[in-house]
Parts: sequence; structure tokens; C-alpha cells
Amino acid sequence: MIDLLPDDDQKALIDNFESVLAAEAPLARLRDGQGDLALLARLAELGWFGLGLPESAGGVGLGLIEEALLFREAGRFLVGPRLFAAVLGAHAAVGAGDPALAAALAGGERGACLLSGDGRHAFDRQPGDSLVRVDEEGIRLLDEAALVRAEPIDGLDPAIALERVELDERGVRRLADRTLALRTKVLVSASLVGLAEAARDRATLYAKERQQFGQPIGAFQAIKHRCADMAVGCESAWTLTALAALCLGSGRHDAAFQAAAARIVAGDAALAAVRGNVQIHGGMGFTDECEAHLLVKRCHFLLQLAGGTRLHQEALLGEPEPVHGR
Amino acid sequence: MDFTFTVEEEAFREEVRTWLRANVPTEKRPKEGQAMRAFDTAWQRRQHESGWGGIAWPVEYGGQGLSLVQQLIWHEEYVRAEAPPPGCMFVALSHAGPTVMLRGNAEQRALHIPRIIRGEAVWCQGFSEPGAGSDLASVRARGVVDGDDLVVTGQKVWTSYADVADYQELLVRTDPDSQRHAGLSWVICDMRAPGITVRPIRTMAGITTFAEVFYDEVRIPLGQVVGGLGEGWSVAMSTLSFERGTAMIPHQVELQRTVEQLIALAGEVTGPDGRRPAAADDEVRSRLARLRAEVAAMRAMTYASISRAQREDAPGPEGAMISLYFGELFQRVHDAAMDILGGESIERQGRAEAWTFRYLDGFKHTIAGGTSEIRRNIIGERVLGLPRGRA
Ligand SMILES: Cc1cc2nc3c(=O)[nH]c(=O)nc-3n(C[C@H](O)[C@H](O)[C@H](O)COP(=O)(O)OP(=O)(O)OC[C@H]3O[C@@H](n4cnc5c(N)ncnc54)[C@H](O)[C@@H]3O)c2cc1C
Repeated sequence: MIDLLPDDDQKALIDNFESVLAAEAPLARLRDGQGDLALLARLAELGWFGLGLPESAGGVGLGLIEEALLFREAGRFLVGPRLFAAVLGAHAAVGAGDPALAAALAGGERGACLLSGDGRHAFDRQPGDSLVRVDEEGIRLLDEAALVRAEPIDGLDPAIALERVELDERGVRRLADRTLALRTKVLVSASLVGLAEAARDRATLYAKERQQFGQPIGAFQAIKHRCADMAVGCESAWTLTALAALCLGSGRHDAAFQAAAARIVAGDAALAAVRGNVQIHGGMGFTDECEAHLLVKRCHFLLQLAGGTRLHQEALLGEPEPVHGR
Repeated sequence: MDFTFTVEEEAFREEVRTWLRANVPTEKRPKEGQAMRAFDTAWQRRQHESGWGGIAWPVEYGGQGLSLVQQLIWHEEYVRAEAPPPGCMFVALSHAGPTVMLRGNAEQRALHIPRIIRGEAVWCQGFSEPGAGSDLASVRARGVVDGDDLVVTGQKVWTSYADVADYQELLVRTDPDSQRHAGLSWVICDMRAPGITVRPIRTMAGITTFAEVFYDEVRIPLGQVVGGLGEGWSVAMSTLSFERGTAMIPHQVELQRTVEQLIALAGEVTGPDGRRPAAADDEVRSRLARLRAEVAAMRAMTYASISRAQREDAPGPEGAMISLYFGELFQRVHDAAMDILGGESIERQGRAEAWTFRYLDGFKHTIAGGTSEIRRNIIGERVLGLPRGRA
């Protein structure tokens, strides 16, 4: 069946994500420099990290598409990158035949932080963390011992603690297959979509409220059309991300194609939306107080999280055209 | 959420593929005039004789009543088999025919429907006027009731295929005191009726596929009014609910193919450095990848619109998003083609011919059937709920 819209169970799931995050993840939290630790502990308690993990590893046993729905909402509320680390780390542990570790990561008993694909940065690291590194080839789950050096540095995104790190990967504990690299692309795309949607919604709301020349600025086509472009960007990026999630989830031959394409389109849509959102807020948008800049900064972070857009472009060009049927 | 084709659907794909492979015309399709009409109607007849004449039409009208997914499969295979576009049969099959089915009376249906599906009647659409383009509700062509006739005087413009059409779906103002959407009527106009003058217009691509049409006291029997006098706007809109966003699928599938051809082209032509193929250039690669990804997104939007149509009867304003996306993407693809062709982009022959033709012809995709600006208005106002501007 061809159905890119959520069914009733999926709708309930989305509502649940949204109501929890709306209550517990106001963007104001991002200013306290706590790296979302409290929020993530709460989400672990709710079982969200294990949504797409098999039940045998203590997960809920849902599909990649449900996980993508979670990351879309998480992107909308700028949930910190430890969410990626916990979920991907748990999948890697399952792939490596260590369901106990998977359960510990998914349950939040064991901490995990994400490294950049090139291994140069760590994000929101805590003592005792497992380190999760994903690149085009696959995923690596490292012990803390692999960390030779870690130097805190100023980061673009004020809500993410950034460290420049040096690794000794001779202690590499696990190496899993390429589908986890693709899963990462899909989840990054989903987060970018959520971020784009947040920007679209904030811009649209402001365009309805802010009055100039005696009317809401959203009545001016220059503003209206920019919002419309954000809406189209979100629609194109989400439908493709959902398609990629479904293709990868069911092992279709074109999963790598769709995942790379989704990451490219979602990246472009998100960047255009977060920047447009600043512009539509005028002088207010340029302030530290307005939250618009937080979206811009998070966008650039997500764009580097699993390799830059150019990398995904080359990956896409390396795939055959998806054709249905034999 | 799901993305799988059932066993039956895969079998259907095989059946369609086999039939198309054996039946798609091998001659080149003429782009204009009577030769085009003969080609398009012959192809329609051939499809009809094998039962494929109206894949989206209900069975009772000789169609196949296919599901949306089957229609999608048909179009995918159609493009893959390099089958020709419906051309001048498009309005009859996708607009006029369905409108007559939905809103016409028994007599109108009996007269027109079979001739359309058999490829015997070509229709055109007379909505736009010199003073009524984006603002279609300001139609001024006038229809005056006189005895059993409607006497029509006025002008239409940009009427695709008017020069080869037998009938026209004509929107006229039949209540002289009416404003905007009220007081319009949807009428079947015989293009051979006395008083009609068709003056073909050449497009920027160099072909003559539309025309202006003048009406000088053209007498149309009142029996040709569809849906009743004064109901024209609602009749015109009813076609949209039939379409359910599927009419544009062939163009979308075709664009995917075009991008693949562009990637192949970039491997053949010399790139910007004058030595290596264009496909070795970093900037060209980046652009090609982006276009490929955007086509994938457009296809996903098609699947999403099918998913919506499976749940709702009337299509929502979301349809404007895919139309807008398609039109602009088509143009980006051909902008890239011009750059990749480089020095050859000023040729209209040989390897450049198809690309330069489509580059020029593609300007229509952000104008015809609603301009990009109007589509952005619809998205802004009806999808996002932004306020309308002060008039
Ligand atoms: C190839 C082709 C085939 C066609 N075939 C047919 C056909 O078979 N039958 C038929 O009836 N019509 C046909 N049309 C006409 C088509 O529907 C109109 O061209 C279209 O609706 C635009 O109207 P217009 O040309 O009068 O432009 P206008 O409405 O005059 O627009 C001119 C410019 O102003 C902009 N504009 C207008 N209003 C607004 C607004 N409110 N906000 C912002 N910008 C605005 C437009 O976007 C455009 O850029 C065809 C057109 C083309 C190009």
C-alpha cells in the first residue's frame, strides 16, 4: 500500500511527543547550558529512546518511521544531540549482539554522547559516556578510554557543549553495518524537517500578529510568499524523509538513494526556513532575546552532524536511479 | 504509513509494461497542427481499442476506473515506454469529459463521452480572456438568452489546441448584472459554429499550440449549457475534484527521467574547464545531485497527494504545493541543462535540440493553470492561514 500519511496509532504517537515536549521543552531551557540532561533523562524514562529497538533488547519494537516521527518532533523542540547518541548507540549495540548494552543505553542507565562523523568533535559529553561515531561506512561505539584528549571549545550553538577531541580507535568496540549510517541520515533529515517546521510556524505566527502599514505583515506578498516557500520546503522535505524511512525500514533497494536525497532536501529546506524566520521577525529577529537565532545555530549543527551536504550529494550521485518493478 | 506495491499491483505493472512495449507508436509526434491532431487521436484510439483509453474514467463510461496507485503505475510505465503525451486529447480526457460525466445531463453524456474516449472529438478550454487571467472570475464574454439559444459575444485567449478542436468548454457571463463568480455558465461550444474565429498564436518555443478565439453572436443551443445557467463557476471547479491531483503525474515522472538524462549528458559534453566532461566539475556535480534529490522529493509529494486523495474526496489546497514545486523544478533542471550544454546551448539542433526546446517551452510551467505567484498566494492563505492583502 502507498500511504505517506500517519495512521491513527502514529497520530497518537505524534500527539504524545508533541504534548510532552511542549510542556517540558520550552526553548528557554536552552539558555541554562545544561545540555538537555534533565529533559533527556525524562524522555528515557518515558521509553522514547527504545521506540525502534526490538523488544528483545528492551525496546518498543516499532519501525524506523516511528523513530523518524520522534526525531521530527525532537527537531522541532531542539532536543539535544544526546538523543541521537542514545538511539543510534542502542541500535549499534543490538547489531553487535549486545542486547544488555542496548537496553542500558535505551533506558538511559548508561550515558552516550555523539561524536561528529569525522571524529573531531564531541557533543554534550558527560563522564562515563559511551562514544557514538557515525560516518558513511557505518557506526562505531567507543569506550571512554578511546578518548585521548578532549578540550572544551566555544561552539556556534550555545545550547550544545562542544569539545575538540582526539581518539585512539584501537579500542573500537563495535562496528556495525551501513544501514545504521543510512538510519542516521534519515533521523538527521527528520530533525531538520522538525526544525524547518518550527521556523515555518514561528514565522507564520509572527506574520499574522505583527502589524505595519495598518495590516498584518503576512498580508504583504513578499512575506506571504516567503512563508509559502517554507511550507513547500517542509512538505517536500518531510514526504521524502518519510519515504526514505519506509524504504530503509522495509529494505527496499533504493533506500540509500532516498536517504541521501532526503538529507539534501531537508538540509536546504531547513536552512532556508530558519534564515527566513529571522528576516520575517525584523529587528526583533536579530536579537539574542528572540529565539530565531537558536534555530539558525541548531540548523548548522545538524547540517554537520552526519557530514555536510556536499558529502550526501556525492553519495546520491553514486546510487542508481530508483525504478519500480523488475 | 507504508510504501509497498501489492502482488496484484506488481502484476498490473507487468501487464501494462507488456502492452505499452508492443503498442507505443514509434513515429515522432508532430508538435502542432492537423498532423499533431491526427497523431494524438490515433494514439487515443489505439489505447481505447485495447481498453486503456480512459484509465481514470469510470467503467460505465468505457474507462478502467483504476485505483490511484494503478494510475500511478500506468503513468510510470507510460513514461518508461516513452509513450507520447495525450497532447490535444488532454482537455477532453482530463477536464471536459469528467465535467460532462459529473454535471452534464443524460443527453450531453450520451453525445460526448463515447466520442472522447474513442478519440473522435478534440476539446479545448475557453476560460482565460484578455482581461481575465489569474483573476478568472472577471470573465466578460457574454451569453444572452434568445429563444432556445445562448448568443455568445466576446473573446477568449491562450486557448490551447483551439485550432484543432471540435468542442470547447466555454465559460461565459450569462447574467449581465452579476459580479465575479455568480452569473457564469459552462457551455459546450461547437468550434465550427458560425461567428467563431480562431487566430493561432505562436509560443516563445516557436510552435503554435494555443490561440485567441473571437465570438461574434455565436448561437449555442441552451441544451448545451452544463449544470444549469449561472452555475458555471461550480461546474468549472467540479473538474478539480475528479482530477484529485493525478493529471500532472505523467509530467512529474517524466521530469525524473529528464534529470537522469541530464546526468548522462553531463558525462558527454565538455565541462567548464574545457578539458574534462562537465560531470567532473564540482559545481556541476553539486547541482546535479541537488536536482536529483529534488525530483525524489517531488515524487514523494506525489505519493503524499495520492495518500491524501485516498482519504478525502475533494482535494485540498496542498495541491498548489506540488504544482508550484514541479513548475520551478522543471525550470531549474533546464537552467542547469543550458549551463551544462555551455557553448552548445545556443543551438537548436542535434544534441541540444530537445534541451533548448524544453528550456523555452518550460517557461509555461510557472504560468499555465495558475502562476507561481497565485500558487504562493493559495499556499500562504489557504494552507498557512495568512491574511489576504487589502484590495
Ligand atoms: C501554455 C499555456 C497554455 C494555456 N492554455 C489555456 C487554455 O487552454 N485555456 C485557458 O482558458 N487558459 C489557458 N492558459 C491561460 C493561463 O491560465 C493564464 O495565462 C494564467 O492563468 C495567467 O493569466 P494571465 O496570462 O492573464 O496573466 P496575469 O494574470 O495577467 O498575470 C501577469 C503576472 O501578474 C502576476 N499576478 C497576477 N495576479 C496576481 C496576484 N494576485 N498576486 C501576485 N501576482 C499576480 C502573475 O503571477 C503574472 O506573473 C494557458 C496559458 C499558457 C501559458
